[in-house]
Amino acid sequence: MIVTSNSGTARLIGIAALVTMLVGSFVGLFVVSPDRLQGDVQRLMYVHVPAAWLAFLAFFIVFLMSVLYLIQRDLKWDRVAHASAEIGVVFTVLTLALGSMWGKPTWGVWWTWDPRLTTTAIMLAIYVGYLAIRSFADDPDKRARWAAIVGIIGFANVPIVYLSVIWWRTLHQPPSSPRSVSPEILWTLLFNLLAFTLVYVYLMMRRIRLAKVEGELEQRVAYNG
Amino acid sequence: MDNLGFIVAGYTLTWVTLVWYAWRTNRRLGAAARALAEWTQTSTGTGRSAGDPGA
Amino acid sequence: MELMRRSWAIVWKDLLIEARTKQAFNAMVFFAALVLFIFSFALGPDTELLREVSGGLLWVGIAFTGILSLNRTYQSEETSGGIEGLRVYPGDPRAIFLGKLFGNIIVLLAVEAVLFPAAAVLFQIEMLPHVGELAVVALLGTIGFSIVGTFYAALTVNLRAREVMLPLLLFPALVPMLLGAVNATTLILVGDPMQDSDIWIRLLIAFDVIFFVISTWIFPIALEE
Repeated sequence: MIVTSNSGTARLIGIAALVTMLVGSFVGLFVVSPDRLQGDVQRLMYVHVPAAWLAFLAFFIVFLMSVLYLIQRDLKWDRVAHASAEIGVVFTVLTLALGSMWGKPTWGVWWTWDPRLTTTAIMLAIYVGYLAIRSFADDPDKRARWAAIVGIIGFANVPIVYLSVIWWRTLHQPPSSPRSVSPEILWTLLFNLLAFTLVYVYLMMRRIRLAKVEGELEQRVAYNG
Repeated sequence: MDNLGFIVAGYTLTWVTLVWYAWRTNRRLGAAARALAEWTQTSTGTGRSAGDPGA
Repeated sequence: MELMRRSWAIVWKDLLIEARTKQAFNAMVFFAALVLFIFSFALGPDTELLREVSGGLLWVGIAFTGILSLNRTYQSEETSGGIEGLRVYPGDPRAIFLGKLFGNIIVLLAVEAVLFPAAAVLFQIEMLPHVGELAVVALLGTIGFSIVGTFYAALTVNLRAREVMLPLLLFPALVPMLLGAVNATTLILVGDPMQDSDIWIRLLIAFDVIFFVISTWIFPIALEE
């Protein structure tokens, strides 16, 4: 029988995710001291940076799963890739929005051509392309194959884009000198990173299960249709 | 807290987005599982599926 | 080599079809010239400004025109139901990719041969002293554009929404190539005291090599039934 309520492990991870997110946000907002230079606005770093990391991790998973699918042609890899892409889009949009919210009070502008933000925006376009091409194939194997191709090339493109934007920026302006981070800030950031990762794992478990059920539905409709 | 608006908006957006997506995924999963259960029942239970050549 | 012979067969076939009608070539040149004119009108008669943005404008024209050309890459096969024929073509399917690639490069270079002099006249730029360097950048950029474009054109050829999907997939993949080509061209035309264009040319070469390898490697999978 199909289990629709949270399976044991998923429930555990979900609760762990919720708790760590609550603690992380609380510490980030009220406990840790504000940045010397930027003030309280710097607290947005504790949500913006983890979101960016997860957006990138999710994309890497899409890449890995795409390679695995092309090698083994097992649809389960495709399901994981699809799930990670959808979740990745959520984190990517969140990253960009939070980046704007942090940028406006800090630098006075909603957008900068910062290499990481620019690469994130382009990554969003690649993700959208990945999800879009899936909608054009009804046959699960063809769909998985096309998506895998787009996923692999898309991900391979990310480091190239990143490096070229860095070059572009350094030629137009001197690089900013990195400031050292206090341990307090670092630990808060790492904790929130853990929280976001648990959220990703939980969402993946549920989304992959959804992909599996939808896949079985599709199979039956096609067989009897 | 200076720039309070941006900070509140940012954290709120984060929470709303993640909770919404989790809720949406669970809801879709419930609906899909129910649909699958119905399919399994009608084709293996007493009802005949439309593609049945007849007995 | 067998592969090269088959590739050239395809190139000749397509170019012969093209030469007979000249339709597409004329449309592309006209379109590119239109782009240049419109930007000239928008930016005004300030020749200094035009010179500074000329690199970008040239590549905008080339990119838009290139996409027009890409849409038609497999058209001659499509209309005669031939995409299936391409699939069962004996021998290495990479020959199809190489053939289409060379065809696209040649056509695009032909357009550029008209476009660069036109830009020199309209924007009042002295291009003759830099012809060699400009040719190198134009060639490398065109090759990069065509590799990625020809590959994604094959992937999207059967899709109903091809006109949307092709640019969507293409745009993120082209970012490094566009950065390289635009910056190198601008530096050559505006003045390059520190030989910065070297970095961009190296980026273009790396881009071309990486994507050539990936595309030829994955092309058979893209063509699978």
